Amino acid sequence: MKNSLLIPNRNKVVGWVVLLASVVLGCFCLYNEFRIPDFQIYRLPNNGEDSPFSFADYNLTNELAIFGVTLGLLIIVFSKEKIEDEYIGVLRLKSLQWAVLVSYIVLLIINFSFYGIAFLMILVYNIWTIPIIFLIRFNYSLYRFRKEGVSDEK
Amino acid sequence: MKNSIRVQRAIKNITQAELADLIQVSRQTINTIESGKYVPSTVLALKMAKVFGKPVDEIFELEEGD
Repeated sequence: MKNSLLIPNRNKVVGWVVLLASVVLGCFCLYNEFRIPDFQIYRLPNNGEDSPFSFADYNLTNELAIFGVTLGLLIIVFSKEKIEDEYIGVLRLKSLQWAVLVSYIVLLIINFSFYGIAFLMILVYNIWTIPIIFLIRFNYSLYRFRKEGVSDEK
Repeated sequence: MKNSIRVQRAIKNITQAELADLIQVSRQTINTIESGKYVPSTVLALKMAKVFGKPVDEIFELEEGD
């Protein structure tokens, strides 16, 4: 059975490069107030008023970082393994199911543990919870799968 | 579900790795099928039957509770 949504294995490296570059950019953006000069479409009106969100930041550096992290994660998640067979497909689906479930459990816990701005900040990071948990779970499954077969050859 | 892959392999005298190559899966997948942890798709079962030259129900057998 072919899974037509998956892309060739060599893309995985590209995904990691995009992800890591974007994470670095995102960190600089968040902690050092780094902005790529003039990287924006909209500008503040001349009178400086920008209601209702007067703190709006129209520079697209942080948007680029969010885009890159998301794109990188998607590429990694949807890349095939070097040897892709149907059992690995099963592991992939199981891990995805697990990731969705865990992600919502985490969200429910956060719902009652964080309030106000902190909660909103966590919701922003939460957009990557599913792919991250999926990657951890899937790679752990693969590791166990590859390990358990080693001693059993006859 | 029970299977007799290990026996069939012994009759044919091939290793897990050789069988895996013949039906284009990883060796660990053969291992999980042999140990009963994973029930393969019909396509894979038919491919195995072809390799062993036996009908599928001689390789895979229903157990009580299936």
